[in-house]
Amino acid sequence: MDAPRLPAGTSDALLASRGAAPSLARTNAEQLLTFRTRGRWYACDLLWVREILRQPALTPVDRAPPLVRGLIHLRGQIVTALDLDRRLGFHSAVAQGPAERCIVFKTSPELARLAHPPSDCELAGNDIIGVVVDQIGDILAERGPVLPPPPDTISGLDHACIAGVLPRPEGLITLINTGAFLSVPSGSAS
Amino acid sequence: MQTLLEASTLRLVFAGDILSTNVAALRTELLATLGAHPAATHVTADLVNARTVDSQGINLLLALYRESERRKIGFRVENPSPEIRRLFDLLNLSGRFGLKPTKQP
Amino acid sequence: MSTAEQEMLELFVQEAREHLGVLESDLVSLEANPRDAALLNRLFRAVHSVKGTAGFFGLTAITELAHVMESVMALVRDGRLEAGPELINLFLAGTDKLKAMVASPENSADIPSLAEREALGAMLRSDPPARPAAAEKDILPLYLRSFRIDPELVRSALRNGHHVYVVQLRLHADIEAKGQGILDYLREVQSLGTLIDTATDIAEVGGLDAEAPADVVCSLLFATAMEPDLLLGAFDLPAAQLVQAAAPALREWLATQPVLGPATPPPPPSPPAVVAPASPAAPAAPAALSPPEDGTTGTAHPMASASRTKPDETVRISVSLLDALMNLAGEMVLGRNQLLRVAESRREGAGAPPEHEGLGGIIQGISAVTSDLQRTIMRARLQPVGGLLGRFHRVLRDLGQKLGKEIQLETVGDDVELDRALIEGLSDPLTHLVRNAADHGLEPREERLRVGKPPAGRVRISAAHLAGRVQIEVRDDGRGLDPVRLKAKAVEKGLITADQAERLGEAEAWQLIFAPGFSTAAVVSDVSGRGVGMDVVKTNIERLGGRVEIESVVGRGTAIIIRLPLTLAIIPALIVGCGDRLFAVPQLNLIEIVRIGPDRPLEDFGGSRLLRLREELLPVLDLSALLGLPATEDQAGSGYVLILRLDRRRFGLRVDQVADTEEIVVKPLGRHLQGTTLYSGATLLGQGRIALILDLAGLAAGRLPPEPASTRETTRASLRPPAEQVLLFRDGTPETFALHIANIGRIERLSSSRIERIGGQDFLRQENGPTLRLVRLQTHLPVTPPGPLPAEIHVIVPRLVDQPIALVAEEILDAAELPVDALDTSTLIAPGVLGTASIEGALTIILDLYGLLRAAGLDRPAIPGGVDLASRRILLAEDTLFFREAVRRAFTGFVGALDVANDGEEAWQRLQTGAYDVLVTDLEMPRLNGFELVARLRSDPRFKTLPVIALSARDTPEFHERARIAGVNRFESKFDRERLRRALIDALSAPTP
Repeated sequence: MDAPRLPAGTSDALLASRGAAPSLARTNAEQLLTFRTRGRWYACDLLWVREILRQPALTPVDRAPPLVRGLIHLRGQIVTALDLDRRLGFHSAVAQGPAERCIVFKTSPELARLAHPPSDCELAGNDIIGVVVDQIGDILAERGPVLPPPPDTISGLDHACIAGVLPRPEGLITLINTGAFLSVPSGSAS
Repeated sequence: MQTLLEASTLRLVFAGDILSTNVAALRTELLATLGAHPAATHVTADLVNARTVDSQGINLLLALYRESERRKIGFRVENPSPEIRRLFDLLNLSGRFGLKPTKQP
Repeated sequence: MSTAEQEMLELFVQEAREHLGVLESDLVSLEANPRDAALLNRLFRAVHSVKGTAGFFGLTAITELAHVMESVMALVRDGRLEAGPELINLFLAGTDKLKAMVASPENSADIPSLAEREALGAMLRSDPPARPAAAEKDILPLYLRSFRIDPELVRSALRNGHHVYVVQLRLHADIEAKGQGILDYLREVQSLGTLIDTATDIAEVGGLDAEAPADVVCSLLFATAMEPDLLLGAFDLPAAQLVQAAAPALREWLATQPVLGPATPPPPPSPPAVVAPASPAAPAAPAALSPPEDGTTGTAHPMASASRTKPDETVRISVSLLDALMNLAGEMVLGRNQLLRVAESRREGAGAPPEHEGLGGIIQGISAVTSDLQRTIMRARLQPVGGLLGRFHRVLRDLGQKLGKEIQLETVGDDVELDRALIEGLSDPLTHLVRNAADHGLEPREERLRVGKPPAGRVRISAAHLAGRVQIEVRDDGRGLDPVRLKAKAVEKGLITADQAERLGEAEAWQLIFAPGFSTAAVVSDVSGRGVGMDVVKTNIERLGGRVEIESVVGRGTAIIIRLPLTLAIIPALIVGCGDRLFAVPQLNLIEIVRIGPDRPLEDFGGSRLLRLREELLPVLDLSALLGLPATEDQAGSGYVLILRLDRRRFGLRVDQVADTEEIVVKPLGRHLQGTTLYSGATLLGQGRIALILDLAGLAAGRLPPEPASTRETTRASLRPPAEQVLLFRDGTPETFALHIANIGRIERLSSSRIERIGGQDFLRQENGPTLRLVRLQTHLPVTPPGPLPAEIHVIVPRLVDQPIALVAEEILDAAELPVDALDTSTLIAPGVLGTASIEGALTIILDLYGLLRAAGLDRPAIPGGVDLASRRILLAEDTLFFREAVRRAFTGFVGALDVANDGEEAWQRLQTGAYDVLVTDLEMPRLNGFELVARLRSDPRFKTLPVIALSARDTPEFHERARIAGVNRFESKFDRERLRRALIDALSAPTP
C-alpha cells in the first residue's frame, strides 16, 4: 500500500469512536473526511458520516449491480456497501484490495435530527449505505480553494457525485457530493 | 327401551347406556311413544340400566326435556348411577332433571 | 394551555381515535350480531371512555354527543332497543361527528351535532317505559347473567388474586372428539380451580325431531390463579372460547351482595322438579340473580384477536423508540457473539480456571435470551392486518347504501402481521381499490339477477405471506374488465391511438386502467370518481416497493393483486449453502429436499437439467450457475435439490449444502439492490452472518420451461406467444425429432447389449414392470436408414399410452420451446408425424406418438361397437396444439365431423350455434377451463344431457373427482384411437346421469 501523502496523525482517530467524532461534528465549520481508494484520494463532508468500520466482513451479493460491493452486518442492521470507483464511474484497472475500512453514512432521519441538517439530506434515504475504502486519511478543517470537476470527456463519470477537486500541497483530492453519491444512479438497476 | 304407563306418568326405562351409537334410534322411538300416549302428564326417564351417558345422550335427555316442555308435561330423570349423577351435577342439569340436590363432596 | 396539558390533550386525541375506531368496526359487526353481549359492552365502554375524558378537558360538545350515544347504547345493551340498521346508521353518524370533533378538540364546539343528538334523543324517548326499576338493578355484565353466582366464591377468588373466567365448552367437539370423557374432563377442570357455576345452553338443543343433533354447549364460570394462556392450554380450547371477567365489574357487583359468615347457606333452591308449563318466551337458561343495577358495566376480555385492538391493553410507543431498541438488541447480539468466541477459545486453550466452570451454560443462556429479545422487539413493530381490513366493512356498508347495492365483504388473513409502516401505506390504495370494486366492479342488483348471479355482490380482501412477499388481493365477483370497452375508452380519451389499441392484448388492455386520466365508469360517481385514479394507487404501491397485477374475466369478476416485499417479518426458512455463500429459502415454498448422488443423478439434456422424481420430470435450476459462481466439478452428481412450489408449478433448485431451518427476520434490501431479481431481502443468522433470501419467482422467471397453458386455472393472459415444451433427440440419423414433454414418462440410459431381439422385434426387460417393446423411429418413419446401434443408447418411455413401449434415442439433445405457430403440417405428411418445425435453426420432425403407434401396428384392434360414429358430430376443446392434432388425427376416419375449439370459451361459443353429439374437452385451458365449461353446460337446460368426455394428461384421483362433480361422463388420459373410440361409443350409448 502506498504511504499516505497526507500528514499522518489523525487518520485512524475516528475509528475509536463510533459516533464519527461528534465533538467535531457539532461545530458549524465544515469538516472534510479524507480517504483513499485505488491510489486516489477523496474527501466528503464529515457531517454525513455515521461511523467507520475496520475490516468489515463483506457478504458478496452475486448478480448485483457492480457498484455494490456487498452487505455488512452492523449491530443487527444491514449496510449496503458500495464500491467507490464504480459508483463514481471510474473504470479503474486496479482491482480493489480487501475491504480495509467502510465509511458508513447517516440515514436521512439521522441527518434530519442534526441541528443544521444538510439541505439535500433527503438523498441519504432510510437504508444504511457505506462505501468501502482502502484507507482513512485526515480530517480537513477547511476546504480551501475548490477547482471545478474534471471535464465531461471522462466517459461514464457521474458528475453529480463530484463537487470539485481540492488542490492540496500533497496532491489532488476529489471532493464527493455525498447526497448525490448515496442516491441510486439512474439506470443502475439491473 | 321399555315403556310403562303409571297412572298419568309415562316411565321410559332405557335399556342400557345412552350413547351416540343409539340415540338416533331412541329419538324416533321416543317421539313415537310420546305420540302414542297423548294423555300422559308426566314423563320419567328411568336410567336404572344406564352406566354411561355421552354428549349425545345428554343432548337426547335435553331434547326430551324440551319436548316435554313443548307438550306442557312434566319431566324428570330417575335412578341415575352415581357417575351419571355427578355429571349432571357438574353440568348443572340435576335440578332441571328433577333430581334432589345432593351435598357435593 | 401548558405544555403538560397540551400533551395530555394529545394523548386524549390519540386514545379517543382508537376508541372511535373500535366503535366504528364494532357497530358494523353489531348489525350482524345485534345481541352480542361482549360487543355491546365494548361499544358502550368505548363511548363511555370518550365521554369521560372529554369531560375532563371540558369539551362539552363531545361530552354531550357521547352522552346521548351512551344512553341509547345502554338501552340496546339491556335489550330494550333493537339495534337495527337505522339505529346503526344513527350511531355511525354520531361516531363520524365525534371523530371530526376529536380531530380538532379546540374547535369541537363549532362542529354542529344537534341533528345527531336530536335523532338519538328521539330513540331515547321512544323507549317504552317498561321495567324502569329493573333497569337500575343489574350491574352484572351481561355475559355473566346466565350464571347463579355464589358471591362468597367470587369474593374469595378475588381476595386470592384469582381470575374469573367464562369458559365455553362444546361437550363433543372439545372433549369427546379428543378422546376424553366429559366427567374426567370436568374433574380435571375442578382440580385447576373453583367451578363457581355451570350453565348448559339448552336453547341450542333442538327438540326430539331435530335432524342433526347439535353439540351440547356449556358455559363454566370458573375461578383460578392461572393466566389465560395457561388455562387455554390446560383446557385445550381455542382462544375464542375463553372470556375473562373484569375484576372491577365483579367487585362492583359484590358490593351489592350481603357479606355472609363462614357458614355458607346452601345455594338457591333448584328449579322445580317438574317443569312448569312455561311460556315459550321464557328464557331456557336458569333464572339469573337480579342484583341491583346502576347502568355501569363490566368489560369482557375475549382472548381472541379482538383483544389486540383494545386500546386499554396497549401502550403507545413510537416507531423510532422501537428502532432504537432494535439496534440495542442488535448490539447485544454482536456482544453475545464475541462472548461466544472468547469462551470457545478459552475452552480450546484449556487450563480454564475452575471458577469459570459452568460459564458455557451461562453464555448459552444469555445467547438464547438475546435472540429472543431481538425477535420480540421485532414483533412489536408488526401489526395484524385485520385492523386495516376490518375498516372496509364500514366503507362497503356505506357504499352499498349509497349505490343501492347489496355487498358482502369477506376478509381473509386478518392475522397476517405486517410492518406498521406498510399497513399505513396500504390504507389509501386499498380504500380506493375497494371503492372501485364496489362502484365499477359489482353490477347493480337487477343486472346481477338477470345474469344469474346472487343478488349480493361479493368483495373479498385477502392478505397472505407468499414466497417471502406479502400478497394482498381485492377480488370482486362483478362484471369484470372488458378489454374491448377499455380500449375504446382509452382511444376516446386520447390515451392511445386506435392502432395501438388494436395491438394490445387482453392483459395489456387491463393495464390501461392504471393510465392517468382513465376512468371506466360511464357516469363519474362521487364514490370512486374523486380525482384520485388507479394511477395513484399504482404509484403508491410502487413507492412501497410493490407491484400491482390484474386478473379479470368478463362477467365473472376482477382481482387486483398487490405484491409487496416484506419489510419486516419473521418467516420460517431453510438455510442453504452454495460455495461459501448462505441463502434462505422460504419454507412455505419448499416441498421436499432430494439428495442427489450416483444413484439419483440429475439428467442433463443439452444444458437443461431434469430430475426424475416419482414418475415426473422436474426442471432443475442450479443456484451456483444462476449466481454466476465458478462451477465445481460434478455439480450434477452431488449436492441437494430443493423441490419448490411456485404458484402451481414445481421445480428443483440445486444447492451444495442444506443447513438448518430457522425463523428468520426478513430485512429489506437497500435501494441500490432493489433492481435485483434474485433476492427478496436479507437476514441475519445466529452467528451474525448475513444470508440473502432467495426470491424464487425472480429466480425462476424466464428460466423454467413455460408453464403449459393447461396447468393454469386462472385466466391470466400471458404476454409471450404461446409455446410448447418438447424434447429434441436423434436416433442415429441426421433428422432431429421432437416429442411433447407431456408424453415423456422417463428417459433411461442403458447399454444396447440389454436389448433382446425376439421374432424380429426388439424388447427391453425391466426389473419392476412389463417388458417394453422398443420402437425405432426409422422403421416406421420416412427417414434416412441408420447404422448399427452404438454401445450406449437412451430409451424414452412415454406416458399417457397403454402399450408398454419405449422409443430408442441414440442421442438426447435438448429441451426446447416450440412456438405453436411454427408448426408446419404440410411439408412432411406421414403417419406418426404431426408436422415439422424449425427449432434452433434445425428442421425438426414433430412426432405424433399415437399415430406412430398406429403406424407400428401397436394400436389395439377395434372392437365393433353398437353406435354408428360416422354420423356423429364431435366438438373438441383443447388448447395444447399437440393434443389437439393428435386427437384430431385419432378421430379422423371414423367420426362424422370434428370441430375444434382452442379453449372453453370458444367451445361454449361454438355450442351456441352448432349441434354436437359429444363434447371432448381438455380440463385445463385458458379463459374458461374444462371444469367451468362443463359446469356451465350442466346448468343450462339445453346442454344438461350432452355427453362430455374429459381428456386430460393429469391423471390423478383428484382430477377424476373434480371432473365427475362438474358433470363429466367419462375421463380419458390416454389419447389412442381405440380408447377414444370406445369412450365415444360408451358416452353415446350410456344414459347421461
